[in-house]
Amino acid sequence: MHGSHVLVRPRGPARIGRSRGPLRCGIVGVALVVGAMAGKARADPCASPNVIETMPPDRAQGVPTNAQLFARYGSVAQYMGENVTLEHVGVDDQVVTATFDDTEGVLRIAPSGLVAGESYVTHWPGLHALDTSMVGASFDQHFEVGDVVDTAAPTFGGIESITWDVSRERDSCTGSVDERYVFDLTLGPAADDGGRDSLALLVFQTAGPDVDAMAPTPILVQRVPPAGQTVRVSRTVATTLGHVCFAAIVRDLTMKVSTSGPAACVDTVTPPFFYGCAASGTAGRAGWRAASAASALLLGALALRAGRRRRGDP
Amino acid sequence: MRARVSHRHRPTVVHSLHAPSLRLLGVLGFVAAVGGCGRSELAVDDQAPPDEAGAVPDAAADAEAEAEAAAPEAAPSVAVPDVQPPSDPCQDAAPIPCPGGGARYCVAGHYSDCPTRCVACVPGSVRVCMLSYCEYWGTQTCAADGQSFGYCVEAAPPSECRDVARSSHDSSDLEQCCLDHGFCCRDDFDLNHNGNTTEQIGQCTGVTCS
Repeated sequence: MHGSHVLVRPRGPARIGRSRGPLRCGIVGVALVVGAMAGKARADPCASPNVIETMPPDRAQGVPTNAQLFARYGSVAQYMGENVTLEHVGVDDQVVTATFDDTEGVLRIAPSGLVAGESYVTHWPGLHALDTSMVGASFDQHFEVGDVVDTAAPTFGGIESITWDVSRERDSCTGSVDERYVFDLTLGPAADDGGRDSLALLVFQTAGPDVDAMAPTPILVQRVPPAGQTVRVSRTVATTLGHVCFAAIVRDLTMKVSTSGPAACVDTVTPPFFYGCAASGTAGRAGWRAASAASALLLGALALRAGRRRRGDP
Repeated sequence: MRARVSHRHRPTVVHSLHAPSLRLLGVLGFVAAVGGCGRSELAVDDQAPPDEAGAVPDAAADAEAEAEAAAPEAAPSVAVPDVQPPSDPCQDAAPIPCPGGGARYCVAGHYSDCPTRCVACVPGSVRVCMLSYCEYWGTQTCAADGQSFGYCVEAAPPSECRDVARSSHDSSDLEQCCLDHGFCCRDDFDLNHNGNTTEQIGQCTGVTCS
């Protein structure tokens, strides 16, 4: 009999045949106990409907007078008509009509009559999570209106480059280790007459195993990161193995969008892979040829030197 | 036939290979090796991947270089055509609202798909799955990023399906029982006949991305 450890499988559905031997059920029982302990270890809800960020960001200044205001919630949030209150600091509070886009998890208001130079606070409500009684935290967004009207569409340099790697992290919902490709996207310059920091970034996958090249797949919406910072996109291995391309646009506070420019592409390989010298390395074949030639030269020189030493030459 | 190996001393002129030369070669080798370094599968495919247009990049570059070398020098009097950069087909393409929320945006020359709340499932949601042993019943939880389900973790079947599980094990009967009693069930037996056995069917509000 083999040791019992061989049947505790770390991943994949444990289909171990139709035999109902007591040993197998016992081992599965042990695995279930271990699983239950792992489940108890995570007390926090794994997916919350909290406010993740706002556009414009909290404490923003110079917000256009015609701006709409956005709050992005966790993807499990559902809007059930909760009040959104806009406080004109020192003047009044008013409940404003809000619309929720559950595909982006974004709650939006379009206030009228924002006064330049005045301060406001948007009281974003805590939203319920889908099919649960959980309610997320509310959030107060402070901002100051500037003397500017957003009239032009934003400009954006698109995705300039991509680096990728494989991530294996324990998932807070499943308790198991999930394998993902992570792509760090370097963005080109972005600008808007309503301010760069208030732009929303929308990322699309334009090529890949499950992507229709004629209809890019939306994969990420978030506030545009500070200049010089990359944006990380996480995807399953199945959806991003091989030749993968991404493109992105930015959207301003009046819902005008930039163009994306051409897609940026990268080729991923199946893990496990090897960090080292490769024919398909970043420098391509030229680098490989140069490396081969230099290596041959070096080996030849060493052989020559060894020969001379054997013969006793200095 | 045995090959004979002779060890004759040849009076060849060999340039002395001093340590500095070796160091130089080493540096050259290192620089070239670093230039050629990258990440590859363990089984290296020598064929470079094609670019988006389907052309192999290195082959195209080589052909271009050869063409440049073979082409006669252009006469200075030949006018250079005024090449305009191609206009962006998305320049004036407005977003198209989607019926379920969100919009389709023109990206890299094409209108995108309509967005969905999540990729595979609502984060943290649970569906019923079937196993081939013991209880024949289990649950699967959706990952925090909504991109996949976790493992099927065994659980006791509900009382309504306990007898079916005992008699029919993991079967279409058990999946039907799962559906009949209002669960969201992994469609292992393709009961909706759409060829997809990884989706979930039944009462899946709050599980399926919509």
